[in-house]
Amino acid sequence: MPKPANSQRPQASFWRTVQAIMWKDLTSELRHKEIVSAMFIFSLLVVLIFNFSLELDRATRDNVAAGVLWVTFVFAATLGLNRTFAAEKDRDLLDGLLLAPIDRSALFVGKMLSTFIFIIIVESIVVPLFSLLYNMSLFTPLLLVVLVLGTLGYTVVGTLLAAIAIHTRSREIMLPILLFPVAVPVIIASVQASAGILEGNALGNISGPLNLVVVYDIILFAIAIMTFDYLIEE
Amino acid sequence: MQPNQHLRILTISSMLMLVLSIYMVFVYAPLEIVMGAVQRVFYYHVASGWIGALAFLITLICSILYLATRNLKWDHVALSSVEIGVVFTSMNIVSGSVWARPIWNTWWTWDPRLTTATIMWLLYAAYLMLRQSLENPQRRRTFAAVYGIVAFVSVPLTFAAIRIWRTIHPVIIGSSDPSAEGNFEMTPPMRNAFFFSLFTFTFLYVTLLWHRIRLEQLTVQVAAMQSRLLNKLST
Amino acid sequence: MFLQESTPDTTIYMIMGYAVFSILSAGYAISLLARRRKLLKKTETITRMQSEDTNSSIH
Repeated sequence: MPKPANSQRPQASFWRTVQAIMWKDLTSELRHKEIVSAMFIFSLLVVLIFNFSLELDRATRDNVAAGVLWVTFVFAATLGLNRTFAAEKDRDLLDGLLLAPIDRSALFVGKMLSTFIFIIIVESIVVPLFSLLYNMSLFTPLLLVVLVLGTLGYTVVGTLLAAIAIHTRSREIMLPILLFPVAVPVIIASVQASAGILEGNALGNISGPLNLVVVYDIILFAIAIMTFDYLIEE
Repeated sequence: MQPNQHLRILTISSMLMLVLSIYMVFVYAPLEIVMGAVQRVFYYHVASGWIGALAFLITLICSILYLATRNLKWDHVALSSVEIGVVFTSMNIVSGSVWARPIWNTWWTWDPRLTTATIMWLLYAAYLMLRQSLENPQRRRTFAAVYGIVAFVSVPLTFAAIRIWRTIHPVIIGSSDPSAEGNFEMTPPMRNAFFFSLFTFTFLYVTLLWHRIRLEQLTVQVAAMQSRLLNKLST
Repeated sequence: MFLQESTPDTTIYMIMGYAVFSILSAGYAISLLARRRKLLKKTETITRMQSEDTNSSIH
């Protein structure tokens, strides 16, 4: 996007910018297929390891399925989040992207949404496989809502912290250390909501954790939008 | 010289207060009948927990102020406060665990209070690690300020997330959950010793903060001197 | 716990608890002092190197 950094020129509209950034990331991923495939294989490995380490028989399986599912997605998503800004950083394009006369919030939302789409793609392959391998149905609409909302919260705060971690000396190690304690509430609430749904509870019984996921999504999105500007001001 | 003098007076008086509060905790306050001597851990346990929370609140405020003004002093206060907060939170968690052994009959349980305190400790340990692993000083300050804000917000959220369980942690001030184990009524001398410990620890926090800020200023000074010398030698 | 008649002897846990407070706070105070001393020593070295440097440039 060779645009002159002319202050008189009007900035591209917010959603146009978001779309442009998403499109860039999605086409790049379509070409290389490295993030989604890595997350997918990694998810399968985690499910496999859980199966053997917990020696899952039928009864235990029902009890721990929600936890196993969320831990799998959290680990896999961390892989994807680590790559959110890595391609630009490795090719020294990050500064170019930041110097472009675009709204920084749009940059954040674009990056966040493209990572979110990658994670959702992986989840939509792993959930049916999980149902098949563990012989239990996960296709309740409510569970899919919880999956989407929980993943959204995790991706929002993950994208913000990935923008921090990318500049640290050991970025792949720093991201989970920064991210996991911050993301604990959304993970706990999502696991509780998912476990409730898998036990066959109605919406009324899981409204507590579900509300918490929504509140968490909103609060962290607000903080991320407010602070992201400072991360790329340098 | 003048601020140095003030700091010396502050240090000496907080030491004297510490001695007095030790006297109050061990001699003035009576032995609690049901729990025995271990109840005396409570005075400093709560005080250190309070300082942990206060320190991280100060970090939040100074992080916001740093991002708004870009004044170095706010960054120094934020970092110093996190360091002291982590030390006091460690005291709080470990001493609580020691207290729990005879009272709850276990060193650790995943109670909401204990879980939140641990996660808070992890958050601010991550803050310190983040500062260690960023080389560019300006970027280090900005990123740490952002993380200082995000970390503080996630503490109440975590508390809400796990509040769905009932707590067995006693609540001495205010109303108490009937399922709490290890509750007791404070007698007036106990109350005095307790509030004096809180006051002493707050005083101690201010003293330590001042010392730590001075150390940070010296660090910045030395770094500047070093780079000046290197520049000079290279030309 | 509320049915017992005599006060249990939990002195050992009290001592452990206060050992935690004293070790951690003393450790932190010592680390503050050590870091300060190290920095002051560094300042001294830098000042000496600077004065040596100016002396050598005069000659």
